[in-house]
Amino acid sequence: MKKIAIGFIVLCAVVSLVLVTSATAADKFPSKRITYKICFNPGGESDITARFQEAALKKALGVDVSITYQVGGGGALCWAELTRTKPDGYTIAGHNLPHTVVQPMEMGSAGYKTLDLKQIYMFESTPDVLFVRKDSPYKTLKDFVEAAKKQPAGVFTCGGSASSSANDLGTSMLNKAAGIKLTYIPFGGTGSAIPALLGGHVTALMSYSTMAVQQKEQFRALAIATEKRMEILPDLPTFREQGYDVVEGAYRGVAAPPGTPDEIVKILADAFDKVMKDPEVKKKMDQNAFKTEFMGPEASLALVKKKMVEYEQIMKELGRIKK
Amino acid sequence: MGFSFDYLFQGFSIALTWQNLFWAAVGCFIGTLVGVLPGIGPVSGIAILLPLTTVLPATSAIIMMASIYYGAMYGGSTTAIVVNIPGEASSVPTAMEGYELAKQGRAGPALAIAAIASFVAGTLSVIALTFFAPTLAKFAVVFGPPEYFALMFMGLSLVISLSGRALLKGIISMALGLTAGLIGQDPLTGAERLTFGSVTLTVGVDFIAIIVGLFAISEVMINVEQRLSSISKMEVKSWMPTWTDIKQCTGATLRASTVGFLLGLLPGCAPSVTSFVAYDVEKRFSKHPELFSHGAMDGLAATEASNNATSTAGFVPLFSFGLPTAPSMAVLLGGLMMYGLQPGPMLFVQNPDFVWAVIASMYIGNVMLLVLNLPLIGLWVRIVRIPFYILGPLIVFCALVGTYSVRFQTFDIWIMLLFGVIGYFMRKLGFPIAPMVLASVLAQMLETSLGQSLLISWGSPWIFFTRPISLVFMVLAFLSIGRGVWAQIKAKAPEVVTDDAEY
Amino acid sequence: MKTQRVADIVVGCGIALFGILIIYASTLITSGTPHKLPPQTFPMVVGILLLLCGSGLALKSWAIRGVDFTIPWPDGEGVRTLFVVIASIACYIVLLNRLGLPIASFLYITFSIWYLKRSKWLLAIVISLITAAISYFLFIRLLALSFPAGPFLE
Repeated sequence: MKKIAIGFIVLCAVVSLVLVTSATAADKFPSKRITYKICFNPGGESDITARFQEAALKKALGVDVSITYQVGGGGALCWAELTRTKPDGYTIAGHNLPHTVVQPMEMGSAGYKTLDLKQIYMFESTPDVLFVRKDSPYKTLKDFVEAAKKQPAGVFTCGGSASSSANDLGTSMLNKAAGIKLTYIPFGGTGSAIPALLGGHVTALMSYSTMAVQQKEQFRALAIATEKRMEILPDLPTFREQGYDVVEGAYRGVAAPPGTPDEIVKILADAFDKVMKDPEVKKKMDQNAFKTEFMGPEASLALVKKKMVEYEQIMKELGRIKK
Repeated sequence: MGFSFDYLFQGFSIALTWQNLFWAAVGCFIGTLVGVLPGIGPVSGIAILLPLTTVLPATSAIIMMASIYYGAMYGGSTTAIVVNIPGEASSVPTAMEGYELAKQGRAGPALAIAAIASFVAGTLSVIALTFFAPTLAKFAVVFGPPEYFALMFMGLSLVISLSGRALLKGIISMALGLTAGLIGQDPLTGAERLTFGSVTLTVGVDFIAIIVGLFAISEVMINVEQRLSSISKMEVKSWMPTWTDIKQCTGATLRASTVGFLLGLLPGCAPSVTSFVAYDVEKRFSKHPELFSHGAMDGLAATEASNNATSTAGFVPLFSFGLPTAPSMAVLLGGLMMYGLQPGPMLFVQNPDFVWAVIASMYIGNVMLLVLNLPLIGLWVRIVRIPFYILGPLIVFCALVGTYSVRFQTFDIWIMLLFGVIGYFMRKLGFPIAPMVLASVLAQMLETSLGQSLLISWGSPWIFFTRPISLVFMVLAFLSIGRGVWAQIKAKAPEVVTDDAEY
Repeated sequence: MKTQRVADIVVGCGIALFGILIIYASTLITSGTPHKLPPQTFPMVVGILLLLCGSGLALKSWAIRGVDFTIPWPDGEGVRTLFVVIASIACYIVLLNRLGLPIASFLYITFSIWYLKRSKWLLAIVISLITAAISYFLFIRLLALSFPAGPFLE
C-alpha cells in the first residue's frame, strides 16, 4: 500500500512537472534558436527575402534564427520533411504558392498534402510580368498579341521558370484570355530563363516583377498580372487595363509542421507581421519589386483554399491532372 | 561599360586598403577551409556569411564572398587528391589522376601543381575578365537550348574515350548513371518516373551521393580488403614539383584555362562538363595518353585549371547581366541585392568603384591563395602516411557528413553506401566508373535542353543541325562516337579495361 | 564468376534483365499533357540501351575464347572484413538518426579502428572522441547545420 502511495505521489509530481514545464515552454515561446528552412537554392527569391527579414526577425522574436537550406524536388523534399517535423514551432519553412498547391495535385506521392502545412504568414508575392527584348518590334501587349494571332498557333514561344509554376499558369491564362497559343518553355528557375530571352531563343518571357527591376536595361516589360499597378513600377500597365483578365503570381510565406499549437503560430505570425512592417525591410522589398503582403494565419489559409480551387480548374484544362 | 586603366587603378587603390585586404584574406582562408572540410560546400559557406552584409560595406563584403567562392575551388582539390573524395562532380578527374599520384608518393607535387595551375588559370581569367568583359558577355547568351543540348551530347560522347577498349562496359556504366539521374520528377512535365511508388525516390537521387560512394567508399572497401597499411608506402619526398612536371603542365594549364573560361561564360553549363571536356582535350594533346588514369600530372593540371577558369568566368555574366552561372553565384547575386546594387550593364556605369575594386581584388586573392596553399601542402601530404586503420574510418565519416549535408536526407547516405558497393564490383569486374559519374550529372540537363529544343522546333530534330554552334558540337560528338565504335569493331578483343582506359 | 569471361557473361545477362525492368517501368509512367518529348522516352531509350549492351556484352564474351583473366576476388577473411565494414557503415547510418551525429560517429570510429587494429583501442577512443567533439561543436553548434544532434545533446 505504501509503495502504491509513494508511486502515486511520484506520478503526480512527474505529471505536474511535465505540465508546468510545458506550460512555461508555451508561455515563453520562443526560448531557443529557431530554424527557418528555405526549400530552394540560396540566392533564389525565397532566400533573398529570408535574408532581408533575418535581422528584424531575430529582434522581433528575441532569439537566434538560423536559415538553413533543404533543396530537392522543386521544394517537395523540404515540405514533406516539414510535415514529419516536431510541431513545436522551432522549425518553420518557407512556403510557396502555387508549388504547395500544385505539387500534391500533380504528383501521386509528393510526400505532403497542401493543407498539411500550417500557415503562419504570407509576406510577399511576385506577380507575373510579360517581357520581350528591348530591341523587339512589339512595343505594347496589343502589338504582341496581334502579331501572335497572325502566326500559326504555337510559333511564338514564351519562356518561364519550371512547369506548373506561376509563370506557366500565367501563360496559359493569357493564352485563354487573348485567344492566342504561345508555346510555354520551362527552364530550371527564374534565373536560367533570362539568358533564353537575352539571346533571343524565345519570343517572350513570363517572369516575375523582380526581373522588371533587375533586367530593366535589357528587357521591355509589356504587362503585369496584378489587379492594379505596382508603386515601384508606375509605368507598367496591368493585363486587365489592356483588356486581358490575367492575375497571377507566386506567393511566399512561412508554414509550420501540422499540429503546431495555435498560440505558437500566433506568436510567430505576430513576429513576421512586425518584421514586414519594419520600414527597413519594406524598403528593401520595394526596391527589388517584391510585392509585400500582410496575411496572417487565417488570411493565408483562405488564400491557399481559394487558389486550390482556381488551380485545379486550370490544371484540368491544361490536361495536367485527370478530369 | 568599357575598360579603362584609370578605373582599374582606382579599383586597385580600393582593393589594396588594409580593410579590404583583410577581408579578402579572411575570404581566402574560409574558402580554403570550405573546400577541404566535408559538410560545407561553397554555396552554404557563402550563404552562412550573408548576415555579415548588414555590418560590412558593400565592397568589402562582396570581395570576401567572391574570394570564398574561388578559394573553395583551390581547396576542393585537396580531398580529391589525398583521400579520393571528390566533393563535386567537377573534381572527379582530379581524383582520378591526383589520387593515383598520391598512391605513388607524389601527393606533394600533385597538390603543388593543382595550386599553381589554379593560380595561373585564375589570374589569366581575371585578365580576360578585366579587358574583355563586355565582348565576352555577348557570348554568354549565344547558347540557347539547342546549343546546350549539343554541348551536353558532346560531353556524353566523352564516355567513348573514357572507356578505352571496354566500350560496351563503358556504355553500360553510362546507361546506369543515366538511369540514376532519371529517377524522380521529369523536369519538363512533372511526371514521376522510375519511383515505383516510393515517396523518397520522388525527389530523385543526388549525384554527390553517387560520386562519393563510387570513389571514396569503394576505395575504402578495396583498401580494407587488401589490408593496406597506408595510402602510400613511399617516403614523402619533396613536395616541390620537378621541372619536368612544370614543363609538362604548362601547355595543359594554358589550354584548359581557355576551354574552362569559354565554357564558364555559359550560364547553363555545368562546371563538371567543363572539367571533363578540358581533361579529354588534354588527353588528346598529351604526349603520353597511356599515363591518364595512372597518375598523369598534365591531366590533373588541366582539370584544376579549367575549374578555376570556370569559376572566374562566371563573374562576366553575373556583372554584365545579373545572370548567375552557379548556385554560389546566385548567393553572390543575393548579396549584391542586399546592398541595393543591381547587376547589369548599368553596374559598370553607376558603381565603377565597386566593380573594379572587386575585379582588382581577384588578382590579389589569387596570389593570397597561392601563398596560403603552398605551405599547407606539407601538412596535407602527411595524411597519406596515416595508418589506414585510422584514416579509413575517418574517410567514411567525412564521406557521410559531406553527403548528408547536401540535402539532409538519410536516404542519400544509403545511396552513397549502395554506390560504394556498386563501385567495388565495377572495379573488380572491369567497368569504367567515370562514364557513370558523367552520365548521372548530365542526365537532367541533357533531357531538359532536348525537350526545350523540341518545343521550340515543333518536334523537329533538325534544329540541332541547322544552327552553326550546335552543328559543330554534334559533328564532334558523332565523330568521336564513330571513331570509338569503329575501333571496337576492329579490335575484337575481350572487354577489359586496358592501359588506355580510366579505372 | 572466377574469370573475367564468365563474370562478363553473368553480369551482361543481369544488366539485360535490368534493362527489361527499366523498359517495363517506363511504360508505367503516366503524364497528362501531350508533349514533344514525353517523359517515357528517355527511360525507354536508356532501358533499350541497357538491354542491348548487356546482351551484347554477354554474347561477345561468350564468343571470344582464349585469353582470359582471373578476377582477384578476396579470400575468406577478406570477404569477412568487407562484410563487417559494410555492416558497420549501415549501422552507423541507422544510429545516426537514433543517437545523433556525435555519438554515432564516436561509436562507429571506435569500433572500426578497433576492428581493423585490435591493439590500438586507446587510440581509437581518443580519435573518435575528437571527431565527435568536432562534429558537435563545428557542424551542429557553430554552423547550425541540420544534423541530428541526438537525444542528450539537443
